[in-house]
Formats: sequence, structure tokens, C-alpha cells
Amino acid sequence: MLKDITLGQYVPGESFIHKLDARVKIVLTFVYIIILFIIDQTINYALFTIFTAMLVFLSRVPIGFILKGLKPMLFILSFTAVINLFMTQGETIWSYHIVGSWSLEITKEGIVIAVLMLLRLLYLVIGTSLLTLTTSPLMLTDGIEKLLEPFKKIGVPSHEIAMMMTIAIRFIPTLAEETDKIMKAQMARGADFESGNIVRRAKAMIPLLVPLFVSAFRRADDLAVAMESRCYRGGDNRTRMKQMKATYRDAVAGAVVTLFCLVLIVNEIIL
Amino acid sequence: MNKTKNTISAALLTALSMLIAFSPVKLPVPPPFSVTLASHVPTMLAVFINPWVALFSVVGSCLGFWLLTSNIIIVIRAASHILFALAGAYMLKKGKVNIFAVIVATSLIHAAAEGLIVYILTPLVFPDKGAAALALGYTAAIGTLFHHYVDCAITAPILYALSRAKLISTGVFERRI
Repeated sequence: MLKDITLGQYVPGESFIHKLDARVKIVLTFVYIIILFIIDQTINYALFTIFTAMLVFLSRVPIGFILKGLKPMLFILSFTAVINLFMTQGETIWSYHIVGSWSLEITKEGIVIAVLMLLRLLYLVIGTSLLTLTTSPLMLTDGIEKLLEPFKKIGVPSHEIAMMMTIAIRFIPTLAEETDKIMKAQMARGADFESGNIVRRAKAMIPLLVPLFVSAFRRADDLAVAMESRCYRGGDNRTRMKQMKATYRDAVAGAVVTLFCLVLIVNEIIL
Repeated sequence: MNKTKNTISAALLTALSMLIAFSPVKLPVPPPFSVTLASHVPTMLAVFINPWVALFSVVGSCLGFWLLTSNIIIVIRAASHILFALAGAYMLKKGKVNIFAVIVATSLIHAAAEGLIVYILTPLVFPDKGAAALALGYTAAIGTLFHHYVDCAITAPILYALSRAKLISTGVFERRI
């Protein structure tokens, strides 16, 4: 049920990746994603595989957690592989005649593209999962706030974004519990949320959503009053209990990723 | 008070967005598409509060989906809601706009944005398949249009209840109450 939603996917630990500064991890994850979409050569995919395996090893996150993150993507992954495998033109290595001019064909180029695109999606999920698996949601929101701070000059409210995320994450379990209670109460009255046509299902949602949203907005009112009465005035002059500090580890991680990116880019240009 | 309340409203709508996304109430549609009923309701309600809350709740949902699922495709599709949320919020802020005109305009923007996202992202996983990207883009756009209207129909009674409880001032239902 809704109560089972895991908040983020953070796996507490003391690994090299866990100890990196959240800001550095966010920036390096973006670099990882960008470089993943730039590379095209098979040798670069091989290097990327080694690099990703090294990251997983360094994070010391149990492989089961990473595979769990891949589960929702299983259909997209197989769909991508199958479409690329059968729809790419090239040198035919297997074919099966269906009817008339329709036939299934597997080409050499199809196999290569299917594998490379599968790896691209796989590494995209693993790379972004590693960030959330090794950084707590609160550290991530703090990191986002710090990274957005330079944009305050052009009006980006970095503190408000971080505060909003912190409140949202805090309230998910409370609202999930409330949803569960309302759902059970409605089901006891005979409500059925999972069968019937679209009109029936949409109608069934209304007795669930109306009390949920009314109670959420009442909570918003109460919380705003409580915060204002404690003199909350937004981000200006606020201090933090835990200060973010980049260390030699972050410099090493930055240097390694930069070097790796340079190697991949040189390979793309030369080969 | 207003800024604090707006931040908290956006936060709770963000939390509800994430919660509804994981709801088991999904329509049976052929994969790779999926339809989660009421998934746009928090964003639609934010549109009626003000543009700031609309923008914040969409940004919050994107960050939230990223933290909860790490699925960048879900995050990009959630980010496309910024366009319809802001357009709707500004139309309502200006006032004197028929609510049905707002619904139709936002639905078209929403459908176009989602279709475009699918069209742009498809070649990243299916290279050299321009026709497939276009077909998937159109399917996503038509599906989104339909989904938008269903979620609008779900939003209306919630908005009515919130107006009656004086928790949101929409300017739509107040005259009738």
C-alpha cells in the first residue's frame, strides 16, 4: 500500500562515495549523464562499464539495492532492446517470414545498437541511483540549495526550494498514513478503486481525494501560523547545524571524473 | 505570512504529487504508456492558488521524483508541466477569463509539451527512428489531452470543497456559494 513508499533510497554507509560532499556528487552526476549521451564508440561504452562498476564497488551499496532500482525500468529496457534489435536496417544474420512482405529480421547493426542503447539506459539509472543511494534526502536538498545560491541574484529562491523539499519529504509519511486510513474507511463503505471503467474509477477517487486535500490545506494553514509565530522569515541570516565542507576527497573525485571525461572525448574525436 | 504559506502549500502539493504517482489506481493502457488517475490534480490546484505556488509545486515534484525514483525520464516529463501550470496560473491571475477557456488552453499546452518531450527523448534510445518518435509523440500528446480532461473533472469537486472550507480563494466557485 501507500504506506510502503520508501523515502528516497538512501543506504547509510561510510564509503568513499558516501563521504563526498553532496554538491560535488550532484555536479559529478550531471557530468556523468552528459558524457553518457555524448559517447558513441564501443570502446567508450567498455570504459564506461568499467567506470560504473568501479563507482558501484566504491559506494559499497549492496548490488541488490541497485538491481531494485532497475526493476521499474525493466519494461522500458526490454522494449528498447527489442525495438532496436528488430527495426534496425543492415546486414541480416537471421530472418523469419511472417506473412506477405512482413518478416522479422535481426541485423548485425541491430544487435550493436540494441546492446549500446540498453547500456546507455542502464547506466543512466545506475548513475542517478548511486547519488540518491549514497546521499540522504536532507543532504541532497541542502546541496541543491547551496548550488542554487549564486542564482539568488537573478531571483531564484534557493532557500524556499530547499525548505519546500524538506517539508514535502517530512510530510509524505503523514499524508500516506492519512490516505491509507481514508482508503480503508471508504473501502469499508464499499468503495472500489481498482476496477470499473474510467468514469467509475474517477468517481471513486473523489471521496478519497476531497478529505485528503482538505486536511492537507488545513495542515498548511496550521504550519504557516506555527512557523510565523516562531519568527520564521525565510533564508536570510539563517545558520546551519551542519556546515557543508569540500575536502581532499572531493578534489580527488573531481579530478578522476575530469580525466575520465577527457579520455572519452579524445577517443570520440580520434576513433 | 503569504510567502510562508505559499511555500508550505507548494510543499504539501509536492508531497501529494509524489504520493499520487505511487498510487495503485492506474488505468489499464498498453505499455510503454501509463495513466495514473489524478496525478495532475496537485498541479491543477496549485494553478488556482498563484503562479508562484504552481511553479514551486512542479519544481518540487521534479526534485521529489528524482529523489524517490532516480528515473530521469519521469523527472523530465514532470518538468514539462511547468508550461501548462504557469500558463494556467497567469490566465487565472489576469481574471475575466472563462474557466473552460483556461482548461482547453492548458490541456493543449500540456499535450504539446508531453508529446514534444517523448519526440525529443525517443531518438536517444531509438536512433534513426524518426517516424517511430513522431508516432510515439502523437500518441503521448493525445493520451495526455484525454488524461488532462479526466484530471480536470477530478479537480473540480476538490476545488469546490476547498473553496467552501475557505482554504483556497479561486474566484470560480465563490460567486455560487
